[in-house]
Amino acid sequence: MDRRRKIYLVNKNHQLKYIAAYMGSALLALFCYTLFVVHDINSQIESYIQRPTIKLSSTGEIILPIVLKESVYVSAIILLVIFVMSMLYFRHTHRLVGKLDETVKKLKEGDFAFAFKLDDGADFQKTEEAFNVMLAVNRDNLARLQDLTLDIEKELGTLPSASSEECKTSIKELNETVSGLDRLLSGYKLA
Amino acid sequence: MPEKNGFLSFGFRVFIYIFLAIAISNTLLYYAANYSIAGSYYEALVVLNVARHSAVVFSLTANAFVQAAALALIFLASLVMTHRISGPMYRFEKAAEKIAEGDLAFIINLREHDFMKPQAEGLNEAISAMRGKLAEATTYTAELKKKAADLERSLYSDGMTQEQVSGIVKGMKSDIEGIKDSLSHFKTR
Repeated sequence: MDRRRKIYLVNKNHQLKYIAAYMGSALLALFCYTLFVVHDINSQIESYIQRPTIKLSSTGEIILPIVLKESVYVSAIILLVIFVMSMLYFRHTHRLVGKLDETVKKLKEGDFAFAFKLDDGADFQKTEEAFNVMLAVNRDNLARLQDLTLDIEKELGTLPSASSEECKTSIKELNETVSGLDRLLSGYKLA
Repeated sequence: MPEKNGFLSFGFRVFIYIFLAIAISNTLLYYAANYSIAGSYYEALVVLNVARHSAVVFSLTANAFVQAAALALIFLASLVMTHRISGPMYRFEKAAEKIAEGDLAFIINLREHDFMKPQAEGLNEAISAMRGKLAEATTYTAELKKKAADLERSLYSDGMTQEQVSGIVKGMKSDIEGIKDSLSHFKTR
């Protein structure tokens, strides 16, 4: 069940919002069309009953102009509504893509010192959270790597001047720092 | 921008489904409620009332099936359309989770009709750059670790001259420069 939900509704908030919007518009359009057609046919037949002098060869002469008129009106309105909805949906996605572009550009440059924000309500909150966790973890790990590198550099700089006993301690410390660097780097799966 | 065309063609498809439902409803309604009127005024009155009744009943029953079919098509089209955005976003989310766990040995693959392909490519390039820089740092660190072990061993053996020790330290300095250079790619503060 969970797998099926994942396949069909990857993001419930986002998908249901737009599916409901499009289906709601269609339902409303078709309902209005039915209502208008039934109402028009009724009132038109009523007006013929009231005026028996008007000659008709079939009821189709009443129905045809009504259904044609209503289909044109309803189609024109629904076309406009769907166009506006699609443009709003496009704008929403365009904004999302813009934010992603900025993030991708920063990540390509190796920049992890920023917070990822989509400003998208609850739609992609989980994606936003996942990116921010990823940024925070890497920011910490990489900063620690950079610090360890500086520590090693400093420790190496003090080695030649150290006396024999101090040298032993320094080398042990250096080994520990190098091991720390190695441990941190081995936490990454690179191949 | 290709996405804009995607949105417009999707909107147009939804419109076509509604339009088709209306057109089919029109045709069915026309044939269901089309009766010949002949004879006296009273006979015509009966026919008009039958036609009115047929039109109402037909509009509310048989056409409901046509409209339900159109709605089902719109539901499927909307589902496919929203998947083109939600799908890549879901993959990006999973990619971010993998990177946070330290996994950089993967690429993001999107489906053929998915949107946001340039962003997926960009993220793949970012992951590849990160992987490359960290692989460089790992190689230098392995060297550094080996030299640090040699240096420690030299403390307890008399077999290594001062010159050799200086050589190891020099090599370590060079390794650390390599690591610094690789890590300088990353901006963390």
